[in-house]
Amino acid sequence: MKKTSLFLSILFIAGCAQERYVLIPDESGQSGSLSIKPHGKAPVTLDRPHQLSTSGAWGIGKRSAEPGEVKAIWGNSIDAHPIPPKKFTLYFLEGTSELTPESKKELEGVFDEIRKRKVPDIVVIGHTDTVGSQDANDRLAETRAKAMQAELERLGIDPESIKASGRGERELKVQTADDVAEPLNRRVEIQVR
Amino acid sequence: MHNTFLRLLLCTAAVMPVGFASGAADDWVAQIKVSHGIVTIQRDHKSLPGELGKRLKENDIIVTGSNSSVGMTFDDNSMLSLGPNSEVFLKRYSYDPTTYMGAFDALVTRGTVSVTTGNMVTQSAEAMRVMTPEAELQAGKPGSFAISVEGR
Repeated sequence: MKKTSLFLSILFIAGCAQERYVLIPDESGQSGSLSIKPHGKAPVTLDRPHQLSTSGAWGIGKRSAEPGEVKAIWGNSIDAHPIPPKKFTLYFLEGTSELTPESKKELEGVFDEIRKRKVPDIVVIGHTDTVGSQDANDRLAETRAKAMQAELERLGIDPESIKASGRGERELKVQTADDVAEPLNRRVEIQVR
Repeated sequence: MHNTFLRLLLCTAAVMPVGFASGAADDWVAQIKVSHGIVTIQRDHKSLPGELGKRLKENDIIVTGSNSSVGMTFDDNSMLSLGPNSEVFLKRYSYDPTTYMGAFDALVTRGTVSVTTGNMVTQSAEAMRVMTPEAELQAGKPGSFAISVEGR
């Protein structure tokens, strides 16, 4: 009885609807959650992929989107979604701004990701391990970031679209004591978006 | 007494450069990555073309015409895209790339909009709010959602 009236009310709301909200799953089929607080009415939370809610003068419902419904309503906006940002981490030889042989190979992947985009912007952040003073590491981190920037520019990336900076030993990937050589901390993070 | 004054002075000194940095050099918060048809940015009572690569600021209004759409990526990697006949007001955007803390308020006044949350929602679920004429939405967990506002 309760179920029937709920079903009817959802149909009714859908007929007069002015707003719709839906959860979109990611590539792996997972979705986040969305809390909806209609003015002066009880809130609703969506927490399953393709769960859809419709608001109208009579309140708010919650159901699964029909096949094709999301594409019919939101197809154009979803198609205009940017390529998601991608992050790379490349590693350096100790005390230098020279990439490890493995990371050198990975640079091609970074370049491919940049080429996929019509208007890429790239953020390069250099890091060091804790060997040496903080000042020296600030300089080394910046040198590493600038070296990557130069490499990307040499490959033909517009310098205007690259931002490079160093964070020294402030943001360790692996927590260590001071003056510890740690290959995983000697890195640059390159974000392509 | 003397101590309090000194502390105040130090605090002011510490805060000042940050204030300048965010105000002057780089107050862009997003960039248009996809643009089809007629897309307009309303900024300071002026209409600007919302073309590919265009940078956006807090308080910009993004408007699409019929058969048009636009997609943008924000500093914290949040993404927003609009279908045809849509309008979104970027009411508030602040973001600290070091701590991932920030605040993002967008107002969807009409049309279809899809949203993917970014670093600031990963850091704190309350950071992003999307307002519509009838409701206030908040992503409880990172992910994507879409909104349509019809009849406005």
